[in-house]
Order: sequence, then C-alpha cells, then structure tokens
Amino acid sequence: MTASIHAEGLSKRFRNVSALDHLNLEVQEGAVHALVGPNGAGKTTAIKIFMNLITATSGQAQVLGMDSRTIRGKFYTQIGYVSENQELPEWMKVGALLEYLREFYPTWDIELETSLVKQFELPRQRKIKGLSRGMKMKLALASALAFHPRLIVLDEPFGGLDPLVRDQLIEGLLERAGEATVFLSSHDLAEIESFASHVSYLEEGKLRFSEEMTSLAARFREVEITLDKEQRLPSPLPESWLQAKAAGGVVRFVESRFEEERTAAEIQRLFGDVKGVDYRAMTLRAIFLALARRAEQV
Amino acid sequence: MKQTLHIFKKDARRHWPEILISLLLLGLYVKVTLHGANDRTIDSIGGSFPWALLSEQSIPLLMILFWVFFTVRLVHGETLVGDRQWWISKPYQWWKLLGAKLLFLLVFVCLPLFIAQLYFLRHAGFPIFPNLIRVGHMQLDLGLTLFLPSIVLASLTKSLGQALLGVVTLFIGLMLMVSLFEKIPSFGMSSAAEGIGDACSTLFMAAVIGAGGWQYARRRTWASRGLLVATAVVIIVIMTLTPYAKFVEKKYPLVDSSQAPARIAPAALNPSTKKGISEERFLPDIYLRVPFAVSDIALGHVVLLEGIKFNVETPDGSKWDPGWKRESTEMWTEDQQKVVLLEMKRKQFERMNLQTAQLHIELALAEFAEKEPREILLREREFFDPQLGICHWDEKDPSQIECLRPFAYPSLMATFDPAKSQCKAEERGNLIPEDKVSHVWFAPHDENSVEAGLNPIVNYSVRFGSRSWQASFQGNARPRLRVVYLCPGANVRLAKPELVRHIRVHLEMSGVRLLDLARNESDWD
Repeated sequence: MTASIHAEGLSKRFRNVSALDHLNLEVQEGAVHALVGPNGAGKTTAIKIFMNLITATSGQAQVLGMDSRTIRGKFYTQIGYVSENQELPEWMKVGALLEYLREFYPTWDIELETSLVKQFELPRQRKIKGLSRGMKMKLALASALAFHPRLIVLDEPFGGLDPLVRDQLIEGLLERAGEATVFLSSHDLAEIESFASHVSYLEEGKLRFSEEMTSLAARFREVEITLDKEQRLPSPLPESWLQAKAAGGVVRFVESRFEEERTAAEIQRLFGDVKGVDYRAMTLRAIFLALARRAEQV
Repeated sequence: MKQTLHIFKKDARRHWPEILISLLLLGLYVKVTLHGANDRTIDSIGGSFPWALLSEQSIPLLMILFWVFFTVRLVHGETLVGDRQWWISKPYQWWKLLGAKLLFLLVFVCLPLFIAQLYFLRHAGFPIFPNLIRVGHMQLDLGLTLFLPSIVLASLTKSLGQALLGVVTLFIGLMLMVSLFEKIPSFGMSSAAEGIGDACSTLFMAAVIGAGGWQYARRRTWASRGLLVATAVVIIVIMTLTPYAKFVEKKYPLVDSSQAPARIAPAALNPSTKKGISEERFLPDIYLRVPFAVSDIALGHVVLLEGIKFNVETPDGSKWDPGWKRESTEMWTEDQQKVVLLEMKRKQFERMNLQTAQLHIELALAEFAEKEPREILLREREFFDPQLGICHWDEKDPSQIECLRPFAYPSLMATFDPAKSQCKAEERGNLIPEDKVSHVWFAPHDENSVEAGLNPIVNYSVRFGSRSWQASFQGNARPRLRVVYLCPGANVRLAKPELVRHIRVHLEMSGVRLLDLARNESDWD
C-alpha cells in the first residue's frame, strides 16, 4: 500500500515554542486516519504543513507523492481541505460559492453537489454570513467532497457542533470514504472511534504512537486484580502499566501492551497467586485519558 | 485565462457598489474639471454641506483615496496574509489571481479614466489619435505610482485597519527619512547625483514589484515585508553615504570667472550699525541675504544659479560650512543684481555675527541659450501655438497668457519688451506699468514626457514680471507695484531653451560681518 501522507522529521517552532517535534507519520491510501491529541498538541500545525499553508522549520512531508512545500495551484484539485477555523467568503450565497468553485475543479460532480446540499440541508439562497457554525462546516465539507478528491483533510471538523450536525457530517464523510483517503484531526474521540481505521496520537508536538484502530483496541485493557489481602504496589511496575492504583485488596491499572498470557505472567510474578483478574476492553476515550494522565505525571 | 475571467466575474459581482461609486466620482471629476464645482450640477445634488466640499481640488483627491481603498478591498477579497482563508487551499493559480485583480482595475477604473482623458483632450481641442500612446503612458505612470503600491500594500495586510496602519507607518517612515536627509550635507543638490537617484528609484520599484509578486506566488508575508524594509534601509544607506558635493563638482566644473557666462561678483554691503539681530528671536534660524552684482550675460541667454556653497571662516577659527544648497535664481541680460537667501542656525550666527569673516562662495551655474527663437503676435481671441498649445490673453489679468497644452508644460524662454509693443497702460491705483524687459522661464525637459496626474491637459500661465514686481518706498506713500501689461498685437519672443554648459565659479568676500548680511525687513527694495 502506498502512503497518501508521509512525514519525516517534521518540526515547527514558533519563536521559542516547539509546536511539532520531529514528527514521523504515514497515512495509508484508503485509510480513515485520525490524528488525535489534546489541545495544543500540534495537530493543526501538522495539517497546515501538509497543506503547505505554513512552512516547517525542518523535516519534510510528501502528500500524494508531492513534496508538501511545492503544493499549490492545480494540485489542490486532488485535495479537499476543511478546517474548523477556515474563513469563508461571508458575502457570498451558499449556491453562489458552490457554483463559483465548480469552475476550479475538472472533476466537480454537480449531481454529487446536489445530493450533498440536500443531505446537509444547505439553503442555497442564504448568505454564508447568516449561517450557523454547523451549517458553515457542512458547506465547507460539501465543497470539499463534491469534486471526488483523492485526499480529504479535515482539521477538527466536529468541534463545537451539535450531535445531529456531527452525525450528518460523519455520514457524508463515510459515504465518500471508499474513494478517498481521509485524514482528520480531532479531540472528539467518541466520534473518531466509530469510523477511523487508523489513529495517531500526538502530544506536545511528539507522536506517541500511530497504528490501526483494531490493534490499538486489542493492546489496551483495563485490568482489575483482586488480591487475598491488601498490599502495596510493588516497585518497579512494568512500563506498559498505566495509572496503577491499589485499594482495599484490589489493584487497578491500564495495560498498554496487552497479551493475555504475558500480562497474566507479569501479574503472577508481581503478586503471586491472586483471587481473580478481570480484563476489560477500553473505549478510545478511556485509552487517551490514560495516556494523557501518564503524560501529566511525567 | 478562463480562471482569470472567472475570478474577475466574481469580483465584479461583489464590488458593483464600489464600481458605481468610482464611476460617479469620475463623472463628478470630469464635470468639475470642465465646468468648475459651483454650477447647478453640484447644487442640485442637495444643499451646501457636505457637497460644498466637492471642488476641483477635493474631488480628484477623494477619487484617488477611494481608488486606493477600492484596490485594497479588491485584493483583500482573496487575502494573502494568514493561513485561515478559504481560498488558499483551492486550486487558484497565483498569476491568474493577480491577473484577475489587474484586469478588474483595468476594466473598471483605468478604462473609464482613459475614456475621460480622451474626452478631456477632445474637449480642449486637441486630437485624440496622435495622443493615444501618451495617454497610455499617463495610465502606466498612474498604475506604477498609485495602483501598484496599493496592490502591494493590500497583499501584505490582512484587513483595512492593517492597511491603514501600513499607510501611517509609511508616512512616519517617510517623514523620518526626509528629516534625516535634511541633515546630510549637500543633499539639497542630490539631483546632481543622477545615477544614484535613478538607481535608488529602480531598486525601490524592483523591491515593490518583487515583494508583491513574491507574496502572490508564495504568501511569505514577513519575508516580503522584510524585503521592502531591507530595500528602504539600503536606499537610506546609499543616500546617506553618497558624496553629493563630489557629484556637484563633477557636474559643474570649476572655471575662472573670466570664462563664466556672466560676470558675477559680491555686491557692496552697507555696513550695519546694529549690535545684534533682535527681531523674531523665537525663530531658530537666521536668514543671510547675500547680494551679487550681475552683468555681461549674452543676449538671448539665461544663466541659472542652481546651487550655492557658502563657507564662513572667522579669525577665532570658527567655521560654518553647510555644504551645497539648492537654488533657483534666473539671471537675464537686463539683470544687475540678484540676492540669495541663506539659512543659518541662530546659535551658529550668534557665535560669528560680530566678527569680520572670510566668505568662500561657490556658485553652480547652468547657461541656456535660445533655440529656434521666433516672435508671435498676441491675439485678442484664442490662438494655437505649436509650442505653447491653445492660449488666450485676458485683460482682467494682463500680465499673463493662459494656455492649455497636452501632457506637460513646454520648455520655454519667453521675452516681452514693452518698448517694442504698443500696449498702452495707465497707472491705476498703486499699479504702475512695467517699462523694462520681462522674461518667463520654464525649465527644459523631454518634450515627449508626460506630467503625472489624471488630466492630460495642463493648464498653465505664461506670466511676465511675476518675479520682478517691485514695491518702492517714498516716504509714507503706499508701495506701488510694477505690473507688466500685455495686449493684443504685442510681440512676444518665444524660444526653446538649450543647455550650453554647466559651470562652477568661486567668489571670495573678505572682511564681512555676518550681521551686515542678516535679513532685516528694512533692507528690502
């Protein structure tokens, strides 16, 4: 499989602040790849570098095989980019903007445009200035999907939207996902979980991990050990155990490299025979909270 | 081209109110230029204020300011500063975007102005087709001086507020530059360093075009702004370090006074009994009034004093050498004395004014001779002259001939001798007819050049005697002014000035007290 986005040692500094620190990332073609992380992690910075909206301090990225620094003009006919803080031409009407954009894209699909306008319930005759934030996002997404882009890049597309609009956006996106690579940033983990095929976690400008959702879900478990008697946590604990706590003869932690046999052996080594062990699958949100809390402790 | 037209159409749809306002202002400009502001058109717009502000002076200014605003708005339609604009991730090609903006200005601002300019020519009585290229030249000048800087300003700013801040910053920067240049010795004669001035202008223009182009091509706002600032710094350094005095000395080679085109010598001074200068003590500067005796200027020649260098030394070792100062004094055959005013800091003056000083004076002179001289008879009605344009004389202001000419003033040496004409004028009130020969001088320039501006028609006056009006003081009598009276049938000699040579002469004045040179109201004729 080829990569739609490939970043190597990408760094960006704003004066003394490091927004992105040697990011290495690969987004596979056809994937729905989510870039997640807390606010200020560097997600938007990374996306803007990929889109050649800002320049990297060092490192380089390739987008659809093109050096991101040379992306301009016609190349954007292959990329649909939507950002939560994009400034739309407020003086234009919805219909006029879509008509205006048609001429820029040889692959613009008027039927698809009509269908998206209907699906997103966009009022063609209304000025963009008078649209709600959700409506503006839907318009931006419609204008980014109607020309069958090879790559759809969305920067925090769901931020601050009501659940209904979010569902509409995700639905619209998923219908196109088969024909394009989708790369999106978000801290709204619940929505990502439902449709992302890959996830990368960015924290303080550094990529903590990047992998398929299935493998991520498989390697994280909430573990609860019931002991015969109350005891303190042994030291040192394995590095893969996060947020370990002991109380009233029960030890709880998050295992970040879960393999049932290996984890059981570690428990045996540290606690001896125990009354019982419970492994629970985690939501993406729980996984990231665990990771974020570990980062705070570090 | 398709994308350019597509963006153009979008802009036309968006900016139709501004287009209408621009056309309205242009219409008003045409109206007030041709008929003045105080006609029924303006009255009918409604009342006096604020329409009273619409005048021949204010409308062009208003129109130009509106065009700057309009250009900034137009460019800001696709703002180049920032990374949040919707269009920057769309398949815009920068040269097509820039082309669309230029096409817009061409169609909605320049073309209507072009038509108005042709109408001005036709209305004034000049043919259109032979002048088309020069009207195009005027448009190009306007484009380079008004629209190009406005486009670049807009391309480097995000909002109208930022653009306004940019203009204010530019204005303050220019003020600082001017005050810095005033301190550079001999900067007044910077025109002598022609190559330097041209190089700086070219560098500046290249930087403006480069910054705008770079910003459109790459949207590197700080780099583009940096390019402009760096260029300004380079120009300031060049202008500051240029040895202007050397350039003056090269352009005006020193000759012996016997080879000069005029005999020029310091005139005798009336020793003053003053012990100091008391009037206008609050002013920081003193004006020294240096009289020169002038003679032996060939008939049909004029000698221009273009610069003066004045160096003072006193016995106590004090010196004052402000470098070359720009001057503009004409010396004609009939002239016998000319006075040059020199500005001196009061503190400096007060240190030296009572001592007898040695004055070293250098004069940069240009000699011009009449080329293709001829005489015309002034007519009562409007007349056409190939050099002057379309002219008429009005008895309400009998000293002047008023003319219209396309694109630029003529290069002109004009002479009127009352003795050779039959113009009879009587003393009226405090006005007495001038009986001496009078001259008019318009500096030579490229005859194909065009004056910067909006109107291709230059409205100018060939005014005789304006420099030689004199008041005579006879006891308590009111001053009487000498006025040149032209009349129909008067002979006026016209010629084109031709440069003969530039030269420099050295004069010495010994045993002079600066106090005797200091300006005193009672010294004036």
